[in-house]
Amino acid sequence: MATILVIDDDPSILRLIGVMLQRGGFQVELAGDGEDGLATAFRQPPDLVIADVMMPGLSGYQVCERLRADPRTAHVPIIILTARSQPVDQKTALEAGADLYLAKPITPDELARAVKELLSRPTDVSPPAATRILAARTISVFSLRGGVGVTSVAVNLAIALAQQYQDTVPLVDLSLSAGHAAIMLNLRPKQTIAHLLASRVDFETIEKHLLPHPSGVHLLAAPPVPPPPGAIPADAIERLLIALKPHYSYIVVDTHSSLDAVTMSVLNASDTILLIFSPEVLSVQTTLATRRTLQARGIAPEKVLVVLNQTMPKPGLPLKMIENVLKEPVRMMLPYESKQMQAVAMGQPLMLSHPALPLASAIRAMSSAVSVTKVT
Amino acid sequence: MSQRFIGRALQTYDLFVHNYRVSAQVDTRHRTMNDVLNDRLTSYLELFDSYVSRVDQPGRIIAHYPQAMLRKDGVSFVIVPEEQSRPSGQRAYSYIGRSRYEVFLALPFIEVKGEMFMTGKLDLHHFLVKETEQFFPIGAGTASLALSSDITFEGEAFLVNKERTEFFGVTEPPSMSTRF
Repeated sequence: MATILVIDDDPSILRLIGVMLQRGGFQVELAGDGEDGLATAFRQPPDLVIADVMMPGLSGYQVCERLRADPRTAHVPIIILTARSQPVDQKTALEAGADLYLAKPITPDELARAVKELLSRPTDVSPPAATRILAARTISVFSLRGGVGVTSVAVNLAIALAQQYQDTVPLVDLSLSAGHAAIMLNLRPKQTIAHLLASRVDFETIEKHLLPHPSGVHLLAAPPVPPPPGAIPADAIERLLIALKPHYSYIVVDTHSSLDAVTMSVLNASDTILLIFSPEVLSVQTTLATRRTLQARGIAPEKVLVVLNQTMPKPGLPLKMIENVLKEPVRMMLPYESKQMQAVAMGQPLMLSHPALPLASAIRAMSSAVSVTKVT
Repeated sequence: MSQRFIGRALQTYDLFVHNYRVSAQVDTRHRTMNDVLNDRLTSYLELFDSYVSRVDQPGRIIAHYPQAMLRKDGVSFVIVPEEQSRPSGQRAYSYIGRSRYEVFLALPFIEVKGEMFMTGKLDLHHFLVKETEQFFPIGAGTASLALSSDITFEGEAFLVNKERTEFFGVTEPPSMSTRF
């Protein structure tokens, strides 16, 4: 018996559709919002999903995009069922990866017909791709305070994205004072970004300077020693990111811990900025100041996501206190992991060496959260 | 969308205000939307579960509010089912004795095409100035963005705000003898 997951925030609609489907001989799972629906679908992929569009939190389009993005649910047929019944809504639903769009109100016969049509579709037919998802999102990992784990987060995030989407993800190491990303990946680059910028910055040249790692991450390494002042111009970095964009779905940038011209050009070009901090007074205070400074310099606040990285075994400042100071909830938290130092020393990132650890799970969740494009 | 208010007549409508599309539930209290919009005793519409989109990206939801208020003056038009487009108690359109006019309306950033059925000859000045109803129905309506005509909205009927109608063009019926 086929299992159908129905996602709608209206309890009466949810019950009604559930009854309609049960009478049609289907097993039904109900979810009252997008997050709950995704959790249910990922836990046990259904045979078909029916999702409302207008829901608080995740909209039906976002649910659809995430289901298509995850290998566990990419194949599941999706029906968008919505009271928004304009031609543009149908187009948006199909672009988000839905198989079928239906307008409310709907009769039991119409629903049963639609469900049966999709369930009888041959399984070797590929589901529609979400045409606007995975469109070259640039994710920067940044902190004005050193030692909070920026490079470690950038490296593991790039691996998580590469694993999640079975795709190549360039990691651009712009932490120019150290070049630690190569060490964490156990790579020995012969060519670095300094060599690249000495020649023409186009994709063919960039590709020759990218060092592949077995995880699917391709590293554009920083020089092992700080370059001379002015050797890495900001406009060249901008051209670099523009040249990369058409060829990849995600670009991760490990940034330097200063708001110099190079870092600003990266942050301006980024779709998401992960602002990393640790639960201690100076780091929290720096984070608050950084947010204000970024906003003053024209960076849209909604691009910036604060990430609490528990770099110490002791708990640090209470979360509530941190949220009061930052005046926003901290939605992304990375737990302390004692094996992290060993992973760095061995050049074996935790996402590869210990994928079942809570820190690896948290990074995968962060990867999912930053990887979905909002419906445009 | 959720209906949290038992006993109310909540229905979802697409309301267009200046540069925004607002999909929301309105409690018509068992009247038609024509009645609700033309009720001079209220200046505002109370909305529940509003989902807001910019009119040039009408599929993208940019905001959601469980409760909101909308100034009726600010509404350009509302897409409604046909039975909601007329005053309560009015019978369904009878084509006898009515002439069909094709209309073209220019509202802020949007153009609307549709049809109106009028008894006798349409006197535009009288219709716009003397008749007291602020919102009037257009049948078989299609709206499109003036600067991006590939973005369209359609519905059984539109309720259009006279005060937001900047240009009102009508075609004469083919001949007076086409009255049904």
